[in-house]
Amino acid sequence: MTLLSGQHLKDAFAAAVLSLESRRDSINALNVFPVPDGDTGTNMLLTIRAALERVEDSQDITVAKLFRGLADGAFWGARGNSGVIFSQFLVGMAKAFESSGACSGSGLERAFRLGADAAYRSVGDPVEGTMLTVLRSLSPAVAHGLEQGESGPVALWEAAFDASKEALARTPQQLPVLRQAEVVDAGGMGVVVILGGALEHLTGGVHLEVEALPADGGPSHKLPSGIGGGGDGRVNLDHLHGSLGTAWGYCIQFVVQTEDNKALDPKEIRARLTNEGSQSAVVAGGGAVRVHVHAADPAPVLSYGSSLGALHQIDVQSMVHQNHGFVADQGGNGPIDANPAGVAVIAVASGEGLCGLFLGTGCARVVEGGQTMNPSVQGLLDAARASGAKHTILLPNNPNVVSAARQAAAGNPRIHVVDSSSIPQGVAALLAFSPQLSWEDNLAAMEEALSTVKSIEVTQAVRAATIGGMAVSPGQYVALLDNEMAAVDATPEGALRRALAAAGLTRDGLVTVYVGVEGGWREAEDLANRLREEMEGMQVDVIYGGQPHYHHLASVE
Amino acid sequence: MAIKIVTDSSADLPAELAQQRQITVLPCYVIMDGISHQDGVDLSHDDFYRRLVSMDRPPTTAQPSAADFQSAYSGLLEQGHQILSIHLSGKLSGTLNSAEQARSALNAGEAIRIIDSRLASITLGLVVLAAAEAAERAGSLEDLEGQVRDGLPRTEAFFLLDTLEFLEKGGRIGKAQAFLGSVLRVKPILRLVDGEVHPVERPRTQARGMTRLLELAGALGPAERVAVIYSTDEEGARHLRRNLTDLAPEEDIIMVRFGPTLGTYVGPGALGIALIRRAS
Repeated sequence: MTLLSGQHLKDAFAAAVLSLESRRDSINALNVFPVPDGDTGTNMLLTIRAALERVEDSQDITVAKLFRGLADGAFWGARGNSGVIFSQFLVGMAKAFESSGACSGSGLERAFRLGADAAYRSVGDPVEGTMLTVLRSLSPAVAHGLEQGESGPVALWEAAFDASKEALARTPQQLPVLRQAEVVDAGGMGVVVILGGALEHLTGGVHLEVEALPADGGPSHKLPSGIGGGGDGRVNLDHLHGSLGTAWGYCIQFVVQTEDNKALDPKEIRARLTNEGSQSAVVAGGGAVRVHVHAADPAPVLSYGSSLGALHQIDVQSMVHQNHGFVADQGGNGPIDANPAGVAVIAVASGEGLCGLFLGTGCARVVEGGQTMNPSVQGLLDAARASGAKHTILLPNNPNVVSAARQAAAGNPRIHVVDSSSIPQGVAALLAFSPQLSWEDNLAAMEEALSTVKSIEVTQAVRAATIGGMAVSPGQYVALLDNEMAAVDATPEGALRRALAAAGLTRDGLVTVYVGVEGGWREAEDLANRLREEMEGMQVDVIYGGQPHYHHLASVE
Repeated sequence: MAIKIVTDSSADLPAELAQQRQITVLPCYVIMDGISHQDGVDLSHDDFYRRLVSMDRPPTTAQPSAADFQSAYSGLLEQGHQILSIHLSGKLSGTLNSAEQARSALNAGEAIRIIDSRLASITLGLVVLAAAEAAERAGSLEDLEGQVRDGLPRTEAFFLLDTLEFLEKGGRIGKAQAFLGSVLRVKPILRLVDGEVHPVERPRTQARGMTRLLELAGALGPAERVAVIYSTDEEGARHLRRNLTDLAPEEDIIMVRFGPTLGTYVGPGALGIALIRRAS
């Protein structure tokens, strides 16, 4: 056979997805670069699944159409740096196959080559010893095969697979962080698994060395010799604990689409974001740009993004949060040492932004919950126990959670509750916490802080009602000020603005807006700018909260 | 023959004041864009802060070398002086290592004494000024060293940072990270405790931070010596000085700037109050 059909390659890609699926956790466990957050396998899997979904229904597809679909699907579904890079690899392959009905040996060489080129271009600061290096190893291997007179795409694919394994085995020599952790690169391993899974299908299930790669839960959790630096697939724990002291900031992902579908220049965006964050990947496709950046502060990144166009699929995650979760799974201890006075704060919150905020501002743990999802008493008790501290102070942050918190504290003299009935109150209380003080002093200081802040919550009315003397129709936005009805408006920002006025603004005041998952980031920024102009001297901070249910939360203090 | 005081530029002593009291200040190194500068020698405060805010890669700092110490020490020894060398906290810098190396290389025996002040910035500067004045009256190097060491526990310093960015970039945030976070953009108030920087409070606006800074420092008065320090916000520093009358009369409070060494970590907009409490 000298040509591969689109259908054949499509089935091979599906086999690759399965192959990655069964090794996802092993790949996650390898992830130490750029941040040891243990999500590379998951991100790559989500990305190639999205790619496959785009072409799943098509029959007798040409290679050109197949790769166009895969590239498009991967672009929109890309997660994480590894996903973004792999989606660009597919984009490059699609370009090479632009007018191909089927795939020849030389076509494969060109596709791997253009794919690797596109992958390198998508990264602000390409680093060797990563999946980029592995992707780059493919086309020379195919070219070498062609020179040797081999023209069969399957045999050439096998040559590329072999080269990828060798490139992967060399990654610890290229990237010191891998050597320290005694692992190969996680993204590179993902590439090898994808190529191997596809090859297994192309050769008709012929027994290949793919099985040498560890499948999750399989008896051999070891990397094949020559691939894993240290032998077993697990990450050196010393390295992980060392990493906890470092400030990782946020993992921010979104897609920007211009209103008029005007093309955006990914290069320009990448250059700008490289100044903001340490790692960025920006890729373009179909009038939109997908951005993935790691930055200390998500606000300027999102603000810049929204200046380019409408933002979709916003995903902001605290990497401190991700990182700690990962370390816990690896059998390590909790991230935060019991402080000198042995007091830990546990907050109840939902939304990645708010959870990250609480964790990054001194909370030992965050229990997910809020208005519509109340945590159980047991959940709070478990968190208190898991904190390892002598005394824990709970911040329920919602009137509906206060009783569960009180119940958790009843009969347990080492659990205490600060009756915070809103997220802003919880933030104010947390800022009054000091690890140096006793639990009694902390409790007093935190309770006192509750009254320093007025809380605003903006949400959408689902049915008609008259609340607090105000008539509300479904679809309208209502703003509560300290849990009392304060304003109704057609837009969330309008309601917020009226509630802020009702709270009373002063020039020496501080307004904080926490934008929810459904809230408009750009609109909140616009409102903040107007407020700053009207009230010169007043500080207005806009923060990504990512909370469900409330379009905006705000505090005035 | 006299006793001379040696310190390093992390003490943030203004050059004229150091000259007046005949204090030898060894410049620390500040490396910007791959070029090494000597703090206060070929890098002015204004130039430094102007460049700091626009740099992609943060500057780094390095202690004076053992050779720097050796040449300063041997110059003073040749003139027949004894030396009391007082430096930045050993927990924050390797300056003391350089000093110790120079002392053993010179085989100067008892003629050089070295003190780890466990302090930084103008808090160290105030101790150095007090030492220089006491040196004129001191009976012996040993007495002076004892006097200076006795005074160290009476020092206190609070700093208000406008941003955590530079502390973070400089890798000096340490364990405070989990407490200070980066989402809320707090204006942290830091305190020097036992040679290390500890976070104290987390106000969210500059105005509230200044109020708390004044309350925290004001509660410690009256003081023997007081200094107000700033990196770029001269007006803010004047405001602090006007409102510290519980500590000392305004005209007795010296106003100085964070030099490039400390400026690398505190960044623009930082303010601070340092004092030596009266001996009870």
